[in-house]
Amino acid sequence: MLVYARTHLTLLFRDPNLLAPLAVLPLYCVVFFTVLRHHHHEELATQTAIGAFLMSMWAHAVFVAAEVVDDDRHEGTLEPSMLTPGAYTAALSVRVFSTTALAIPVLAEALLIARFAFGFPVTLGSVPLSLVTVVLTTVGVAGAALLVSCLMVLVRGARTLQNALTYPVYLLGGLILPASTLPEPLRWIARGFFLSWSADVLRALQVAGAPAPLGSLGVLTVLVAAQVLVGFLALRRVLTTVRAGGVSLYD
Amino acid sequence: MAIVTAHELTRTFRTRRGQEVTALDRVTFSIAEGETVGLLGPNGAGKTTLARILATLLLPTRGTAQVAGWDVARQAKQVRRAVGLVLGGERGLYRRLTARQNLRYWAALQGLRRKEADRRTDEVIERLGLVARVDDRVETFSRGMVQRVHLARALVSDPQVLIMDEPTNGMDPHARAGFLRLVRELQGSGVTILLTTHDMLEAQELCARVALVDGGRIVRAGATEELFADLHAPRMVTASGVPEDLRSRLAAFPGVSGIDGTDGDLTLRVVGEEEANQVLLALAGAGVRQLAMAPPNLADVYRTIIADREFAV
Ligand SMILES: Nc1ncnc2c1ncn2[C@@H]1O[C@H](COP(=O)(O)OP(=O)(O)O)[C@@H](O)[C@H]1O
Ligand SMILES: [Mg+2]
Repeated sequence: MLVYARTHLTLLFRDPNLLAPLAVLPLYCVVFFTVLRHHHHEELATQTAIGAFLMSMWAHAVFVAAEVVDDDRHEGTLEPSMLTPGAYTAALSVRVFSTTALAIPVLAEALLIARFAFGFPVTLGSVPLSLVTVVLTTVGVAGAALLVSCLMVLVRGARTLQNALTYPVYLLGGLILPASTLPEPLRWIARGFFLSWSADVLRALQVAGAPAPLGSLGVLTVLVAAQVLVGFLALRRVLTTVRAGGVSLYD
Repeated sequence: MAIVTAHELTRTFRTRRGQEVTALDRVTFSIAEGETVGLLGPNGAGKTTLARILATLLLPTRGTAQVAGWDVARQAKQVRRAVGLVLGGERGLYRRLTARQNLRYWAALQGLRRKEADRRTDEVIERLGLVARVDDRVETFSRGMVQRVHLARALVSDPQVLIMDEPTNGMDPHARAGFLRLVRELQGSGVTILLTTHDMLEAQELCARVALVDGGRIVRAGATEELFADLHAPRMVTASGVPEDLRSRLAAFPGVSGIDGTDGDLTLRVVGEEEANQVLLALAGAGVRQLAMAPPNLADVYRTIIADREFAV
């Protein structure tokens, strides 16, 4: 398992392009925080940093992590990998997760920018529970990336697809506005999507003196588990169709 | 004992326009343990399709095949444990990783534990002469080196059967010769090899038996030598110091064609065992002492069987 993660991180760091989505985060933060200052809403700094963090993680997952299978096809490594489909599916899962996890430090980065570059008051609630939520979120986002990676293999011209999976998802994930403020049908969809619970729980955890949102954390856990299961099964299914000749092993 | 068998193996594809293409058409053959069999055919003959079916990367449409006693369609897991696949071409490795990193990753995919993986990796690195470059990135390797890493990867799991799909494709002659030498060393270790190629010489050099494929069918198969005898493919005779009158008489010998050369130098092609003997006798009788006869090459065999295709020899 470890060797899969190590291999993959080596691949990533040797092609710095792949880390671009993470590098642009400070820019996002500067824009968001400048707007906050302009409107004198310094107290929203923590909430905004959380939103920026989740957006970065999601973008990184959709644009980088989800490309593993397609990249392997491009490198010509997909075909030999299919000789060990079980291990390969596991390897892909580890690789997608470790890529997604690279976005975790972005949360600290965003908070530090808020605190030291802008001098905003940054309030942290329960650090252990926040970490748990961040890890759960990472697992969920990786699960979503697995699902996207299937689409990348099946659908040509996946760039459009990747782009389509950013802003609508930010909206449905409650990253732009809290999910509870969304109009009726959208709110239902948002409520079935783990990311909106991540955003809510993370934000609630930073409110000083408020009770821990354990119920929401439970819902998040269930939705994340479902997301990972769907992603994993979809990937396994797609890799099976490779054998029937339904998917090209080459570009 | 046959370690690979195929019975009426057929694979059809549907193209994007909905037409049905038969890539493999009722192919039946077997390979004995420890044997090297060549699958020789032009582009589009169905070689890769067959290699992929035997390696379990593709399901047959009809027919069956077994590797090491396991069915390639229903017992893919067991087949995969017995098979090593070597693909030709530049791709197929993580180019940004070193050879060692690639091999470790594949060893892990093969389910080898850390210690075992390291031991096997070191072994194949040593065996394939990769020691000096093993910690360099694959993207800095020559085509020949890349192919060695391909072979090393296939060998990490110590397979009983090696399937090599046009492994020397795109290699320069020097690299190719080096690679063929490695394969010959492997042959000594008892591994069974199925080698696909469109290169006659390669099949000739490595394979005791050859199957000629075209249009998805095996058009001819047999021991490399027998194929020639059976087919009446021409042998090439070369000689020097040949008297002018003998030269013109030879043209009338049965089975002789393509007489060429000047100033007593002579090349000719002759079909048939007895006919060849007559030519040699005549030359020797006329005091010719510089004399050589080459066995028919597969290019000639091919021409004899599949007349209407062009081959670059
Ligand atoms: N996935 C595929 N879809 C459609 N046609 C295919 C596919 N794979 C192979 N073919 C066709 O099957 C035939 C045999 O191909 P292949 O096995 O690759 O030949 P070779 O390896 O001998 O060059 C060719 O006509 C090729 O176009
Ligand atoms: Mg081929």
